[in-house]
This record gives sequence, C-alpha cells and structure tokens, in this order.
Amino acid sequence: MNPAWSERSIEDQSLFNPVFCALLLRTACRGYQEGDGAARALPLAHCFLILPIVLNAAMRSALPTLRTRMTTWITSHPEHIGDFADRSRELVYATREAIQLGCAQEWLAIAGDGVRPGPHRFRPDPPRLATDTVDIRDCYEAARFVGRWLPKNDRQSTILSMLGVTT
Amino acid sequence: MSLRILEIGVYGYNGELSSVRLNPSGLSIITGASKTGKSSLIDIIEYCFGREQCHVSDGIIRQHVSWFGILLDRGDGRVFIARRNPKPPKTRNPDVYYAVGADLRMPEAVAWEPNLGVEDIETLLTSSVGIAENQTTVPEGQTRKPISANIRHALMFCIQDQDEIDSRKILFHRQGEPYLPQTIKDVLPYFLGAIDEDLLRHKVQLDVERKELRKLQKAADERKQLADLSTARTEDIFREAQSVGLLPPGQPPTQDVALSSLRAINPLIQEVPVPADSTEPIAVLRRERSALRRELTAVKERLRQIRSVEDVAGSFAREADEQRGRLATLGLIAKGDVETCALCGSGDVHVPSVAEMNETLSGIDEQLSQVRREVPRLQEAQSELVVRQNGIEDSLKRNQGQMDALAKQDEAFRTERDGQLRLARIMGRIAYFLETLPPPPIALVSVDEVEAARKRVAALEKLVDPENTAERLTSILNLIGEFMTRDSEKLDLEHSGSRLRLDIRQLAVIADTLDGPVPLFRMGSGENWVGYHVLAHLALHRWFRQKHRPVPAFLFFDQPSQAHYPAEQDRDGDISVLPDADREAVFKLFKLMFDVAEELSPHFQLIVTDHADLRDQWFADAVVARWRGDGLVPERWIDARR
Repeated sequence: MNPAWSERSIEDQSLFNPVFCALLLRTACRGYQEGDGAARALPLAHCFLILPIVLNAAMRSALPTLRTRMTTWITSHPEHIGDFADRSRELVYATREAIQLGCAQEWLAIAGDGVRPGPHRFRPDPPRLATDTVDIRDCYEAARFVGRWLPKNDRQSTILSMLGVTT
Repeated sequence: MSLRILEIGVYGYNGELSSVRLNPSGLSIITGASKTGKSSLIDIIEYCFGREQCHVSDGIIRQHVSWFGILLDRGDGRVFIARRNPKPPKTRNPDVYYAVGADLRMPEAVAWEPNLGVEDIETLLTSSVGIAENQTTVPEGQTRKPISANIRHALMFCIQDQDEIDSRKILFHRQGEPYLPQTIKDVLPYFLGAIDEDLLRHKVQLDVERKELRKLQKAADERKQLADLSTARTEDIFREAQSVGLLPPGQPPTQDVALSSLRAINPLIQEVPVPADSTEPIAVLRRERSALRRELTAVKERLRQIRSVEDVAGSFAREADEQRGRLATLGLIAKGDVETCALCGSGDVHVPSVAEMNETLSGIDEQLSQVRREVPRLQEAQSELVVRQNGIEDSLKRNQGQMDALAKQDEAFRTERDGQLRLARIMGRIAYFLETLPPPPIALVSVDEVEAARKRVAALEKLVDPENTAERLTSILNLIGEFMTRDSEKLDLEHSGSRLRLDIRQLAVIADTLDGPVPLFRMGSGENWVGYHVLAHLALHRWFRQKHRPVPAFLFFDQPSQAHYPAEQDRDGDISVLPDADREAVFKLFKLMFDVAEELSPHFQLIVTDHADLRDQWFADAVVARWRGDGLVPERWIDARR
C-alpha cells in the first residue's frame, strides 16, 4: 500500500506524483495504439513497466530507436536489466495510483484486460505547461516511445521474464 | 537450473503442427524405420538452440516444413523457441520466435511474428541453463584466445549422433570439426566444476590488489628516498633562510622539521626587520601595505565563499524547478478527487487528494521564491565586496607609488630594496628546492601494510593458479572414471572389469589393463565403441546432475544399437531375428540406459532414437513415438503437396 501523502518525502510527492504519472501512462497508451488499426489496449501487465523505464534517467537515455527490437535490446543490455525488477516493484503502487487517478479524470480508461486513453481531450496531448523542464518533456517522449516499442504479438510473460520480473 | 526438452516439433506449410512429446524425465525412446526423421531431431534441437546454420539434411523435412519448434522446461518455467526453416539451398534464416511462460504449450499452429535475433537465443539459453560468467585459462606459451563457455559448448556434452556414437576416434559431439577438440578441452574443466565459478571475479580482484600493492610499495620507496636526500642540502637552504631572517636563528633541526619549517614560510607576513627610528615614513608606509594586503586576502576569501553559496543555491533552484514542473500538472485536474477505485470500484482508495498535493506545490513555490530573493542579495554583497577589493588594490598602488617616491629620496631605502631582492632570490631558491623534492607520500605506509597487501596478492594468485584447477580436474575425472568402471560391469565389453577413465588430453576413454593403458581407438569392434561412449556420457551426466552443473539435463543418443542391429537388418524393430549374443548385448545396453535414467530422475532426461523395439514392458513404457509409415512429417502433408 502506498504511504499517505503526508508521509511521503517531498521528492516522492513531486517527482512521482500521480497526476504526472497518469499523464505518462496516457502517453504510453496512445503510443501503443499508434500505427495500429485495431487501436488495442495496453495490457495491464505492461502498464507496470512504463514508469520504471521512463522515470529512470539512465534507462531513459539508453533507449534505442524503433528499429531495435525490445527483446534484442534487453538481451544486449544486462546493465539496465539487473535491478529492473526491484525498481518496478517499488513503482507498482505509483502505477496503480496513477491508473486510479487517470481513470477518475477520464484520462485513462480500463478496457478488457488493458488500459486505453480516456475520453478527455488535451490540446496538445500530452499537455504542455510553462513550467515544463527538459526532463519532463524527455519523460513524455520516452513514454510514447516505450508504448510504441512494446511488442504487441508476444506473450506478456516473455517480456516480463526477460526483464527479470517474475512470470 | 536443469534444461530439459518437453516437445520437439515441425510446422507444415499448412500451418499444422507435428511433434513428438518426450518424457520430462527418465528414458524416452523414439523407435522407427529409416528416413522417418529420427536423426533430424538432433539437428532441429541444435538449430533451435541457436546454431547459425540449419543442418537438417535436404529432403522431405526441409521441403515440407516452415518452422521448427522446441518446448523446453527450464525449471522455473517453460520456454518455446521456433526458427524458420531456410528454403534449400539456403542454410540460414534470421527469423526466431521466443516465448516464456509457466504453463506454456507447444502452439498448435504458426500464429506468431519473429521477435528475436538468432544470436540472442544463445545469450538467453546460456543464462537460463545457469552458466556463470567464465573464461577458460590458456596455458602460458599458447596463443589461442580465452573463450567463455556457453550453451553451444554445453550442448556438445548432451548429444551423440549416429556417426559419433560408434566412432573410435571421436568421443564428443562435433569433435570432428576443426578447432573444436581444443575448445572441448578448454571448456570441459568449467562444466565439470574444476574451474572456480568466481575465477573471473578473483582475477579482477587480483588486478586491483596488485595495483594497490604497487602503490604502497611506491609510497614506501619514496619515503626512503626522501630520507636518503642529502641532509647537507637541506641544511644549506635552512641556513640561507636564517640569514635573511625568514627562520629564527639557531642550529638547524632534523630534516623532517627543517623541511616543514621551510614549507611553512609565508612570504606575505615576512618583512625584513628595519630599525624603527631610521626611516620613519617608509616604516609607516610598509605597515600600511601589510594591513592592506591582509585586508585584500580577507575580501577575496569572502567573495569566494559567497560564490560557492550561490552555486549551491542555484542547483537547489534547478532541482526545485523540476519538482514544481512535475507537480504543476496538478492544474490539469478537472474532475475533483478520486473516491472509488477505477479497477475494482471499492471506496477504499488511497489516492492523495488534490488539496494535499496542491499544498506540496505551494510549498515548493514558496521555497523557490525564497531562493530567488536570496540570490540578488548575494549579488549585492558580491558587488560591494568587488568595489572594496578595487579600492584596496588602488590603495596598494598608491602606497607603492609613495614608497617608490620615498625610495628615490632615501638612501637608506635602497638598502631595504637590496634586502628585498636578496629575500626574493632566497625565497625562489627555497621554492625550487621544495618543488624538486619528491612529493610526500599521501599516507604513511607501514611495513605491515605492505606485507599484508603482499599476502592478499599471493592468496589471490593461488586462487587463480591453473595448477589448482588441474588438481581439482584430476580428482573429478577419477570420480567419473569410478562411475564408468562400475557401470561397465553391466555390459559385455572387451575390457569390462578394468579400471576405466576419461582422458581429457586425448578426449578418449582409456582402460587401464594389466598390460598397460588401452585407449578407445585401439580397442576393436563397433560394439565396444558404442558401449564406451554410452558409459562415458552417462558417467559425465551423473556428475553434472550430482553437482548441479550448468549443462542441460538431457542426453540424446542416436541409434546406440547400430553395431548389433544395423539399419539394413531392421524388421519392424523386432530384434528376435538377431543371434543370441547380439540380442543380449542390445538388451543390456538399453537396460543400462534405462537404469541410469531412472536413477537420476527426476532431474535427468535420456532421449534415444533407434530401430530396435524391444518387447519388454519397461522398454515399451519408455517409447514415446513409433515411426513406421508416418514419421516426423506426416504422409498427408506430403500427399497434399503432390
């Protein structure tokens, strides 16, 4: 269970705040639907991979281009996968919280066993604020990339197992 | 983790699957006629395990198959690997599909997209079979590069194809290929466990410790050098310093003390003592100058402090900016607080309220505004200090001008200037002397410390010593020889009862008889060759399993009965047509394989393909496929494409 807001450190409150995380998830879901006529939902299990990848500066800056398959990239970058399982465990509640908040704001919608962008409209999407820093824009970009990059036809357990997250 | 094969299959161009399911542990026999695809199973295994080229021979299989697939059990879950059949005459294809799952089954039809590179199979299987990072040791004087053992190498101890199992010259799979005998010799010690799993780490540690030892020794040497420097030279300089009043008069102290006194000389504070009553105006000016210089130093220090404070405040502001930036997304909330869970509808949710979050945002805003207010104040203080600094410098210039003017008038001042020049020259000599001294050791190094470092290096050197490995290897090979000798009593072989051993230098089985050692290639007849191959590999796997070595837990024999029951004699697998001795030998061979496989269950899997089909119950129970008529590729696939 996530600690109450007042018990979190100021860094946790601001850097992993559910509003920002929800926007990242929405961006990833939109990325997942890109170039796909069926516009499918981002599988729930994969939802939990977005924040650990995007919010980690080292991993974010090491992301390749879409030409590199995710499976291949994972096998050739053990240094980023080593502690991935631990990091993703730490962010499970942040993800869950972000999904809850995102759904309440209609930024996200639960559909079947996955998550889709909700009916709310942003212009532009993801929204831009005057206070956005370079880091924030990088996070949105990485979230969209990871969404597009996640393999769509593989078994979810294959990706989870390769990332060291137990099946 | 033990890797075993659950199912091997082929997918036709019609998308259908034809496969053979193996017993997850114990013996699995695939019996059948020639040309039904029994031997191709080995090539399919190797191809799916990441071998670059597809060695499945051109023929029915290559013509009618679109994908090869294999389902593995790796202990903590299942792995499915499929590779596309390269269209003959091509021998390689980059398409690979890889899936992992706890309850994974062989897919009924091809419904996947390639998702992996060929070389990644090797990486994935190498780690899933539990092969640690390792490196073979190359003896001094030899030029080959060290290699690290991987799944490809492990497979050489898991397979015996029909040309290998009865060979007098070849004991291991692919031993006949160029360079591979040396590779087998290099990697076998690792797989047997003779090489320390931590060898690589120890090697790295040894490098670090050696570097540390060199550093300690260098420091100790420097100290000695310093002590050896002629004390006379230090004394000379010390006396010179005394002569101009930089140091108090008296007998020069010991070298260490003398050096530190020399280093401590501060040119600013040292002023040549001048009789107070001789030239009063110059003395006043000089006092003024000293005061000005001290003040200047203080102002500069203050400026430096303020600038560093400014740096810290700046980075805090950046960090706070990032935090505020991320929290600012709060403004986008339109629909109030979350009161029910989006996933389960429960009211028991703990998503923080907007009000709470906004409080954090305004907290950060406040901090930021404070930082902003702080910075201009620092700047103001800075500019004030800079003005002061300029003022002092101007005063100094004026002071110098006045002194120069006085000097022109005052004869006595000229003496003072001479004194200043002499002082400057001696200061220069002292500085040069100190600079050319070897740098003082960073830390005092005691003899004990050097000795302790030397001991650590020696201990590590012993750990990575190849002789250690050799000793352990000999002892392991002795134990494996023991297994072979024991099992050999169950077969009627030429040297049964003699002590058997595995010779890793010759890659051969050797029987120590009363008349001397007899290597496998000097023994006669195919039945001996097959027998000793089976004994050697069963003994090796007995060791691998007992010691949980990272070799896949399966062993594949292709046609072990061929010496007694060759393909051309095949009568639907019935061996009753054979002479008694041959029938007996085939029975014993299979019974031995069955017994060992049972004994090592559930962590071991023995797969045998053969023509022979014994009537005994235990044999029939182990048969997982009988290919008479239909083989790996069903007749109807072939008919459909005619």
